[in-house]
Amino acid sequence: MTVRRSDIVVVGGSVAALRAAETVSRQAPHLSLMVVSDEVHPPHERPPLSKVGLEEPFDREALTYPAVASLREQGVTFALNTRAEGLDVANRRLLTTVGSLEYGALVAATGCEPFVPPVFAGQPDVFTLRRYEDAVGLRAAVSRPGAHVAVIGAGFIGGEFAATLAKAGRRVTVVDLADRPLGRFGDAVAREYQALHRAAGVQLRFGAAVTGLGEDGGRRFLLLDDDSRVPADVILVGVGVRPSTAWLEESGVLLDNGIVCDATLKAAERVFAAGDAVRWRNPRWGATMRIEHWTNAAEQGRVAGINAVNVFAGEDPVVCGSVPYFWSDQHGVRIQFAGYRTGTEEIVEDRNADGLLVVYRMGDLVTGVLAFERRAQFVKLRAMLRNELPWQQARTVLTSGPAPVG
Amino acid sequence: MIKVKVDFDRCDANGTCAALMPDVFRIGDDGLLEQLRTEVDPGREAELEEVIVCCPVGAIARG
Ligand SMILES: Cc1cc2nc3c(=O)[nH]c(=O)nc-3n(C[C@H](O)[C@H](O)[C@H](O)COP(=O)(O)OP(=O)(O)OC[C@H]3O[C@@H](n4cnc5c(N)ncnc54)[C@H](O)[C@@H]3O)c2cc1C
Ligand code: SF4
Repeated sequence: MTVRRSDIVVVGGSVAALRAAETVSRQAPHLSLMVVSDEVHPPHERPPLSKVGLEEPFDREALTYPAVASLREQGVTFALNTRAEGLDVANRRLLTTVGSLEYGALVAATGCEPFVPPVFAGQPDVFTLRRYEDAVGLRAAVSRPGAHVAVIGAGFIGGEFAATLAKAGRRVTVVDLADRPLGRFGDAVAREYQALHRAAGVQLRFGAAVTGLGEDGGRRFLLLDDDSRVPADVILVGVGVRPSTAWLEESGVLLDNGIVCDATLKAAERVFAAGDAVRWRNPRWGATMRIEHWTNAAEQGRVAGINAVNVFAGEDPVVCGSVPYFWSDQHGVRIQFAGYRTGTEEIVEDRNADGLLVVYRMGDLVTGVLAFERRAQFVKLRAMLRNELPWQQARTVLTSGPAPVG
Repeated sequence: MIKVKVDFDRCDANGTCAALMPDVFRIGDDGLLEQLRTEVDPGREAELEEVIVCCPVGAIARG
């Protein structure tokens, strides 16, 4: 076991880590920089894992972020297959599976990992979808002719993969405990989402709990709490993720369903955090939140990178204020959301021939917008949401005279 | 001035750039990206940097 040293150490091997590394290397090329990731591959894109068609090429090289090559050329070290196991904040040491690493500043970007309910754990042909290997295994399993796939959880990853399966003519059933999908976005969104999937031939079972697994004539099925059965030769579990923060448990860094950070993404002395693992105070909304979406991870990677450099430059850290955003592509329809909701908003529905726009309104302010297509209008509202957005202003973007509902 | 290049073959029109720099990028009524300017003031380097790292498909670059 050797002790090595790097001015800046970034822990994690995905988008937040990569964007942090790019930012450091651009702003302070003179600092030594190491990226420590427990993956065997360099950072690759995750969004395509659920979206790329089953018949399309699925090449890891093509999914690898191009920035990896340029960073390596600039002398950035990617310590792959290396897991962070502990952090000694006082002595500025990262403990890893291959020894300790001294740092001047550290960016923690270890993201999230999928959660698997006990009923599915350790069973054959049960998959989660987070890493390239997961997708390779899942795609091989569903390539068997006649395989019937059960998707557990009607969230975005499950919904996207169900759409990918339906497009390739596979039989797929989505099962969810909730009585409607994407419930936190309201009834109109739930209806639209269900209609989209049904029209494409995806079976939907809502308000259904899986009580066990069974087998009939060599084919597996899910047993639901109403005693019905769902064919499940292959199972994709998409019920949610948990922050990967076990390595910080003894470090004194505050953890509470994520790494707790201030508005500058600072978690501890000389330690910043970025991405899906972060719970931070977002000054745009005056609220503490954890966001599990791509652009948030990229943006936070950038801010954490700037602030890690600022430690050396002796400059004040910058704050990370942002409008949370996600996109999802299902059955050829782009679904997008921007904003931050508490769940108590009034919902304004605006439908026209191009799609559905749903605006979340709290008194005189708009706090979020969700769209099925309607791309030009969505992006206008998304841009407006960077500042406090009065309803009267948002209204000018909508189709004439939408009536408030629900 | 800093030159801004968009690789339209990669762009998937999610509009992140248009939300961050609306005077440079726009999503048109056809849902596709339009580039309104090919150069930005050097004082906006940080903004451009943010747009570049936040484009989900890496379609934006300095010229
Ligand atoms: C299939 C799929 C589709 C998606 N589609 C969309 C989409 O359409 N739109 C959208 O907005 N978002 C989407 N997302 C979400 C988006 O990909 C995530 O928000 C993003 O990956 C978060 O990045 P991150 O760097 O914070 O964390 P992660 O991507 O979770 O990466 C964490 C990294 O840290 C590594 N790591 C963890 N623990 C350790 C440790 N102890 N030591 C060393 N390394 C460690 C992991 O191996 C991994 O490399 C999708 C996600 C998935 C899985
Ligand atoms: S952010 Fe990138 S992908 Fe999105 S519209 Fe702009 S250039 Fe296209």
